Amino acid sequence: MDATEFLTAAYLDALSEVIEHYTGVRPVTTACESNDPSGLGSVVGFADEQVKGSSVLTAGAAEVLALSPTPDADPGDWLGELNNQVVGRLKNKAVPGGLLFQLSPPVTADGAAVRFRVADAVSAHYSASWPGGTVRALLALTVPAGLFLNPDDATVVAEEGSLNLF
Amino acid sequence: MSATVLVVDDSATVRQQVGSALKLAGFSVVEAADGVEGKARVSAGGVNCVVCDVNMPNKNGIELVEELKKDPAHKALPIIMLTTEGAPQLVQRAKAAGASGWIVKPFKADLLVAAVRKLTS
Repeated sequence: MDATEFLTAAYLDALSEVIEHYTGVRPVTTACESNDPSGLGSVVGFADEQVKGSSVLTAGAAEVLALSPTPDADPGDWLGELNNQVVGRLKNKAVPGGLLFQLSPPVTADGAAVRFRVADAVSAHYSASWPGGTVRALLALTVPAGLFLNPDDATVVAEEGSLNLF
Repeated sequence: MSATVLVVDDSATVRQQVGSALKLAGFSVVEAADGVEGKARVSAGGVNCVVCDVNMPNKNGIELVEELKKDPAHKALPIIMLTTEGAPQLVQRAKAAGASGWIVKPFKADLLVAAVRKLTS
């Protein structure tokens, strides 16, 4: 499968899974031309020897808190952790495809109208909506031309929520 | 006397969530924001179990396990990794370093509490 298609699909699955975990509802994800500015933004980078990328999540504080299991969470910190969990799931989905991403720590911005742009990568904007709100996502990827991934189903990656006592 | 669990994560919200689950189950909880703080807190004494993120600034979770386990005083200290990571290579590295378990985020509170209870009993 084309690596960009694989990673884009995996990213949208990861984003949907994280939102569903915290809301109980699978969000509707839609591609957008660009994203409206929001009050909070979070960036998590990821890279391996072949592929580099960034995940940007933007949302208002109310939407971020709607995704928090504790009502008094710091919205900026929690958006960073949500993005970390999204990219963590992307990383786990990419392992069978032979990609082992290193992740950057989340960086969060807050302001009156935070908007992100991509300078030098293939990028696409999405919105993920559920009854409680919308989170917007920007996925930027740098993928070598002609890179195809053949996921190995035999590769076992620990599932989200699983416990393994040694 | 309840066991004391050290929660090490660079996200204050995650520390809050894990701490709440453990306190509800009757454990005492102390926190650290990265591996450097985590090591200092363990060295200060009184910690019976550690729940630790992997990807953190200053010192990551696996480095923390490796350093703590070099000290004979902490040979028996249970350390559970709580992380988004699921790659088998990392799980094996943590196991080889002396970690006691691996939970992939987002965590289920009942599983976490059961694991801590089992490791501190």
